[in-house]
Amino acid sequence: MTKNAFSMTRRSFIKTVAGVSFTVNIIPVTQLLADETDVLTSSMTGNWSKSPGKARYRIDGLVKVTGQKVFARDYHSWNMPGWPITENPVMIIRATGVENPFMDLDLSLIPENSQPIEILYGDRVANKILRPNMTSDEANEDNQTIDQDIEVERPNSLTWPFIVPKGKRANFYGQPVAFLIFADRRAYRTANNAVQFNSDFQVYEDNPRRNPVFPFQPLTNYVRVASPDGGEDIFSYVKNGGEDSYDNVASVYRSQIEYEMASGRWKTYQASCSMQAMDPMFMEPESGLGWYDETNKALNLVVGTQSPDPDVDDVLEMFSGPNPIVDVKTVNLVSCYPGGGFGGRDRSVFTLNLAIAATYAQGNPVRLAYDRFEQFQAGLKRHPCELEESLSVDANGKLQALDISMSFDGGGRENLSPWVAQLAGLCAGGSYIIPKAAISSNARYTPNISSGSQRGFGGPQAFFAIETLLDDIAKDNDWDPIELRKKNILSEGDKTVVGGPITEKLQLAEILDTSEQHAIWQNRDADRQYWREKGLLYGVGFAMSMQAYGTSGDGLIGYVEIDEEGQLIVKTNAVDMGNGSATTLAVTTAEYLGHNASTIDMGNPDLYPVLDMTTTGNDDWQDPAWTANGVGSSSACLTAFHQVHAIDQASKVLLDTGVIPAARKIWGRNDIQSSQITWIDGAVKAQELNLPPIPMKKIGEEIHRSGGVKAALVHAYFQEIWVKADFTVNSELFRWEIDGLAVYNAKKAEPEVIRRHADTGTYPSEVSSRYSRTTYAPCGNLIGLTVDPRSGDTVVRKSLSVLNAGKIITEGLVSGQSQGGVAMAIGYSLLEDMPPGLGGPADGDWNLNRYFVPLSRDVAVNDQELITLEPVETDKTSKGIAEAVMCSVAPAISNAIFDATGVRFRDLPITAEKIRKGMAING
Amino acid sequence: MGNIHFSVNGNPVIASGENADLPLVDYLQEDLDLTGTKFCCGIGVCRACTVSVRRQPGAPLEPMIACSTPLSSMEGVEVHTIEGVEKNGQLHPLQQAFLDHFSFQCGYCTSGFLMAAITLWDRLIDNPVPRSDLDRVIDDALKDHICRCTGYIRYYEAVKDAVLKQPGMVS
Repeated sequence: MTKNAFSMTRRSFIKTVAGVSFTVNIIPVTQLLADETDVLTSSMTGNWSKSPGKARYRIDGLVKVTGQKVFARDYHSWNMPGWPITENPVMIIRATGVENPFMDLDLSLIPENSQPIEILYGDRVANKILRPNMTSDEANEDNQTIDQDIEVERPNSLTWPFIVPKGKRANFYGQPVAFLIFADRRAYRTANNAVQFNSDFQVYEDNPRRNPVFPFQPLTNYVRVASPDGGEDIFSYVKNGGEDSYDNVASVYRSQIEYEMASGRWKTYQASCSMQAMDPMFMEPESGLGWYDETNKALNLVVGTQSPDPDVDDVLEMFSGPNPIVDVKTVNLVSCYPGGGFGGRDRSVFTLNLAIAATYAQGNPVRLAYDRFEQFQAGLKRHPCELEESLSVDANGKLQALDISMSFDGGGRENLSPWVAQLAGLCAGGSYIIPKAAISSNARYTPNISSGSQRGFGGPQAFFAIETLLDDIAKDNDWDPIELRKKNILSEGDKTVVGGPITEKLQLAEILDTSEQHAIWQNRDADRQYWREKGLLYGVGFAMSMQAYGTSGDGLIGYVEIDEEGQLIVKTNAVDMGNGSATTLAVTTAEYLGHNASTIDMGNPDLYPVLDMTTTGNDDWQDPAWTANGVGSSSACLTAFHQVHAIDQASKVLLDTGVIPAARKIWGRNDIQSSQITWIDGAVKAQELNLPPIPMKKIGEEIHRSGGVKAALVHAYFQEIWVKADFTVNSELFRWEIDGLAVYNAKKAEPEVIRRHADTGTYPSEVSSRYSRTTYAPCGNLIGLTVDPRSGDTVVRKSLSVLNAGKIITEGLVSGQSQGGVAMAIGYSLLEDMPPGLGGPADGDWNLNRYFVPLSRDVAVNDQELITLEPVETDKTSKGIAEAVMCSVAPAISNAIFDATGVRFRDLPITAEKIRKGMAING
Repeated sequence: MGNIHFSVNGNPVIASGENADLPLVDYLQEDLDLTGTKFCCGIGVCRACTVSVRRQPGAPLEPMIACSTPLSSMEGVEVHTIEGVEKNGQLHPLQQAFLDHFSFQCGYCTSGFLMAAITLWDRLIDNPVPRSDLDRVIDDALKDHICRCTGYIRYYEAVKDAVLKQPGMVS
């Protein structure tokens, strides 16, 4: 059979959870089918590879543009080799009431011949009623732990029961109250038609009581007072955050800042902002297959997830309890390309629901495939946010102080809400030097649909506040808004509102200059006149962001192998949500190995365990097996800088330990160093030496013939800097930017783990763990739009994004990400809205007929421009840019509407109705 | 209802009348295993499920929303899906253009965009439009489709590029 881009050898590894050991297999679905059936013989990647380091088109492009099966929704049990053909559709019934106890379902509404064959109420699977961060009202009976028959363990990472037990109140809208398993498609469809929009189906006792609202821990509290002379901060989270007294002292400084801002010393401007929930509206509703194979004690799951590692961990934990419903020895996770993600598939509970259904289906495969109504009712949302901000500026236009309080609605089940609020705290300071800052940010539990880490991760909310306030300041003082920003921008060596350093050239001045010189800005008065003659108000708005990418500490995995043919194989734990990770990582090998990978294998949680590293304890870099973070979820912003680094370093290790030794043997020159070679026309050449070029195929043959190093698996860790460490491989000492390593000898079955030298290397400082972030992708957006003064209709006419993306790897992927970000942000600003509670999608009757996402006519499809700045000399790498462009579009739109109408709107989305009312109130 | 006769990618199919209310997209996916046509909103808004159909011999191709079309209305209809676009291992120029322009990311909306563009392509073969009208007809064909990843521009550019490269489609 022809090898294709998804080629891999079947992998399995042992994982122990809560004292129970499981075998885990992670298998890309395309490979499974290619290996075991003839279904996917045409899943070739085609001629995607252009030249070393360049892609002609997406590596996954051909299978997608020809309509082959790559998404979880494309599969049924009969497509899966070795599975029973008959599949049982599963319907999850979700709470539409949270104030009254759920009592039962009225199954009489379903025709007799279409009744479910299995009904799963909460009592069977919920072992405990727990709430996150139990704090104030433990006396409440709903918060008491109750012990029942434990059939499915609730993972520690998951708050609230999987399914609401009868007689208990749901903890949030959309929480399952029952799983119904049907015999076949016909019964499922008949039942669905009978109950989907029938409010009588769920029966609640009339005994209303509201659930308490409380914050998720930890709370974010950043207070900074800079030194007046530019020296060490007087107080900051970075400097003082490690002290027990931090919160108490911070509150004193907060009061001082607020007092000073109110004293009249500076002009102080205030804003109240309200941002709505937003659905990621990825195109493929969450879908999957599950089958518990009793013979082999194996749980098989077919899903498209952004977080295979955490999902697997949670699934294993579910079956580690004392009395599991089924005996699970093996979990086979068959991974599919997600049909969009945007954070909505990051630690989604979908995979766990699928696992539950599969284990209660009497050995039959189950199919759980949400329709769009269900996806709106169940899927993770962007956090709604309410915030109050005050910003002070002196007479010279220099920002002096910031005071902001942000509250994010995390909804019911805790996802990544506290961390979204935390990054919003850093983003609150925008791209500017602000000597005094008091920032409070939290995410709270509410009964609303759960919120997650959607594109922007708190940035869109925080940047909106400061970027609209800056325009108010400019307007009030008759200053040019771009000039005002120029006076305050951060530069290398400055400090953020957290007190962390700016360690790179942000190119903010270049972004401002480029925007200022652009025709949208320069011609705004003429354009205003043009549109006025057509009866429309025209305005131009600018806003800037420097969205951070990555987290405050990222662990990455990279594997690169050379086969006997000289072909390169890349493996990673990362998932490609469509953002182009697979393509980007496949071309990354070219830097050191002169060739693009011919095979890219994504979504491998089995790589990290090979390194046998530990994360127990704190800052124990003296332990060669210790690292600060193993692996995390996949997000688009982690590709170009973080994941690329891991593959880049794995390529370097393979060059140093495999390719160079092979070349030495072929040339008969043991003195050749990797610094002396280059790649020309696919062959390795020694610079300045009169040696014949060696084709990659010959290198591969030599490595495999002589038992050299054929593959390298690395772990890298970034926290302000990449960890650099020394390793000895085959008696040679090397320094690489990694902290964990295994090499694979061509003649040996098992890899050799090689520990870093304990007494050398460069590691992150302890204080850098409080920097919040140090990597930024700055972006400015100019928006030109019209407002119809009669209808309030707003149309974006022109847009410009000026982006510092660092080194561009694949232009088509960067600009596609950018254009997608602009479109989504226009939806966020003007169109997409969903009220909380039963007025919104919680009722189960929401779809695209009432949730309006942008169409081509909404995004200035013929007049949208992206300018990517030339990387500065020190920019050796790319930046993660997934959400960078999105963050400053909404404030630019608000500023443009302000410019057009003279009215400020800070309640998103800025609908035509709001504009009509606002203009009427303001005359 | 009696059996329903129509064709898919040139192959005749007979659907049981018992499935008369089954949406075409479900029939394609579950009965014919043609999953290239995608389910997204299920109410005919997003156009991800678009297929191209000829309602009677000799009629022009037109787009059809497969999620909202029951099999009962398919009698005699000629259906074309994404699986039938590639011929003899050769990509259609529109498919190649989608690749070359990095038009899609996740790819879930691609089938709908492609079949809408194929329908336009078919019409332009018989009825070329003036070059000055090309942007408008492309917009007419694609304007109701939803893409959440790449923001439309690259689809528009790809279709325009492919049409302009094909002789005789603009006058």
